[in-house]
Amino acid sequence: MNIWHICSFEIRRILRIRSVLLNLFVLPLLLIFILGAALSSTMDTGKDNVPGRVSVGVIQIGSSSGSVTEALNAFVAAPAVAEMMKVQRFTTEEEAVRGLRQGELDFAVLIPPDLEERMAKGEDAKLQWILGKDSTLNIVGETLFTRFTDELNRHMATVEVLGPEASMAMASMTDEGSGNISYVNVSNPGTAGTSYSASQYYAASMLAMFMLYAGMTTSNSLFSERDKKTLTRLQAAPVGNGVIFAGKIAGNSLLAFMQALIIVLMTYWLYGVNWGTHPWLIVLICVLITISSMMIGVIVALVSKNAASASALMQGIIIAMTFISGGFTPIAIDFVQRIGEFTVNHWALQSFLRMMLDGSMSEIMHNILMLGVVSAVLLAIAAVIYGKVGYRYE
Amino acid sequence: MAILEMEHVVKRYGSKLSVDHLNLSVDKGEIFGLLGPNGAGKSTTISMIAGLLSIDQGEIRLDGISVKERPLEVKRRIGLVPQDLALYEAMSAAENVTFFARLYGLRGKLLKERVQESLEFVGLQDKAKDAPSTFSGGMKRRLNIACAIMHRPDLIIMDEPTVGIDPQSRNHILESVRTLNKMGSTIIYTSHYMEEVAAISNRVAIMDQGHIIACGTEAELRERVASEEKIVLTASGIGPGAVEELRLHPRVRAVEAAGDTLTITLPSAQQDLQDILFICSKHEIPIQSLKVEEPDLETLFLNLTGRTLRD
Repeated sequence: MNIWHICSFEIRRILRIRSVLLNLFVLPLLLIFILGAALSSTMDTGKDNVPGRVSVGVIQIGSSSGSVTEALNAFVAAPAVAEMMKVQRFTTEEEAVRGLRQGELDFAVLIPPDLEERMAKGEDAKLQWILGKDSTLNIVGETLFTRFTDELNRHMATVEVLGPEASMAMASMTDEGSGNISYVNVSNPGTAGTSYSASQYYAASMLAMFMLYAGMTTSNSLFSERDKKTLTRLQAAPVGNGVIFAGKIAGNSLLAFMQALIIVLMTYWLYGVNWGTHPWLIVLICVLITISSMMIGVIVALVSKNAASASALMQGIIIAMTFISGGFTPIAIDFVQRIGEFTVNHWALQSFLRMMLDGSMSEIMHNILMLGVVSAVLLAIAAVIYGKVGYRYE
Repeated sequence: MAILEMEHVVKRYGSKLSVDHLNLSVDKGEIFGLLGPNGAGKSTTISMIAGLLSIDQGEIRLDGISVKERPLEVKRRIGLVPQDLALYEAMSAAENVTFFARLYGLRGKLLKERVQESLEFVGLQDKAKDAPSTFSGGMKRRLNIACAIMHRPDLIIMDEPTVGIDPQSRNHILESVRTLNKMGSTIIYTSHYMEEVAAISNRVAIMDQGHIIACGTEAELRERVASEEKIVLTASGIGPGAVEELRLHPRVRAVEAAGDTLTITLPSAQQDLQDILFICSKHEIPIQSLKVEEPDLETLFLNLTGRTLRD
């Protein structure tokens, strides 16, 4: 019962401090908005990565018959390809370029007139791209036609090595099964897309970072009881030291959890951040971050000599962990990423991102499990230190 | 009948002995003054009684209950007014008292009544909703007391409750101590203000270097230094000849001249006052004022330790 009194008093006491309120609730929302808006151009958005059907102009100068033309016709007619692109034929490059400029085409490909001749000489089949305005659609076009030229090259290699009979045999096999041929394998990237927006990314990383700041509030609160001498009075009351300590940690934990809830809901309503479709897993992740955050706060408070050094240490830990885990900006350096795997932020961020990407449950659970392991290790360290040092007046 | 008994209590900080085999007994219903200079071991002693510090050796019992064995039960019966203000500045006066009252198990209607009663007792009923950050030093001290008495403890320990406050608040606090005592609480009052302790205590113990060096009623303690009195006179032009002649008087033990003040220590002022005045008149010293100082606790402390209480 006394734990609850201390816990509720702790919450009310902290909520009276304006600077803490600002740090816990207002600042994260502001930062998510600023970072999400400012850096959205540097990150692909989920919507951009689910392109529609690409309008492709195929420029074929000269003869419109022959094996290349046949292969091209078969390629564009394949159902999976037809689903992804709409082909318009052109006989001159100028017409296709005009189409690109006017936005009628997204991408164009020029089939050199001597392609068949070069292939007959054993050279690689190469096409010429004419890129449109949208980089994503250009990549889709390039990918599809690279697949086509690869197929042509493979065919020519077969003829060269095994002879024209083998080629004819393959052609007949192709004819027989043409309805089933798919030049493109389409995997299921998930309903939420294969990538996340800047707002999603920073909502997740800032949530993890600011929940760790709740640990700093805990550390400050533990020191404040000592510095303001209220710990003397608390320990003079008929309450065990463990109860006082647990009550304070419980209060700060509830506050951190409240902070997480507000950030998740507010970013969802205000900035349209998609947190995925597993609300209970979000709760679980937040619980684990809260445990980690509180334990870091406790460890720092118990090993530091005074409030100022504890604050500085907490700041350093939080900023370092956020940076190394790519919380400020993704870091594509291998050893930094490896170090990042030892941070709370890394597993918290990855857990959130997997859910935002609608990843498989095993993938999500793996990240949550790792976050749980980090929390358990911190809990064990804090318990050992508390056992040795304690939280006492003495 | 003793409410508090301390037997051979020892407390060490590393190699330093803070409390050295302390034996003390406080009777039920008394105001017990604990005097001593800074570092004498008063606060350590109090902290051990209140269960804040562990006892290295010895035994402390409150109404027969061992502090070591049943600390929570002992704590429930003690109200501690710490030397430092122990208040939550952001919370109102009533919220401060209510929070601590809950920790002592008070609930519901009784809780509200006791909170109100405590605030009224220290004269802060009109400030119940105000935060201590808006209070004067004296008001904070009074709230500090309110937070320790709302559960009506059997023993109230007040550790230097009047440090750094105005005379009006000091009088209010001293009056409160007497009232609490009349209401049935035993009080241990520590201070290094000798006159404060002497004014309110039934018995006084003087502590130095972790020991009790003297203990008894004020009269009993004065008795120990009753063999000495001081005549303090103020006059201009006190010459060395007069000082020398005063020193030669067979019963004068010491003469100190500091500016216009002359302090003469002797066994009995009444017996030798005429002689002293005769010597002053002989040397044509124009006396402006004269007073006889009886021995006090300060003198006793000085006699026992060679230091003053405020050292």
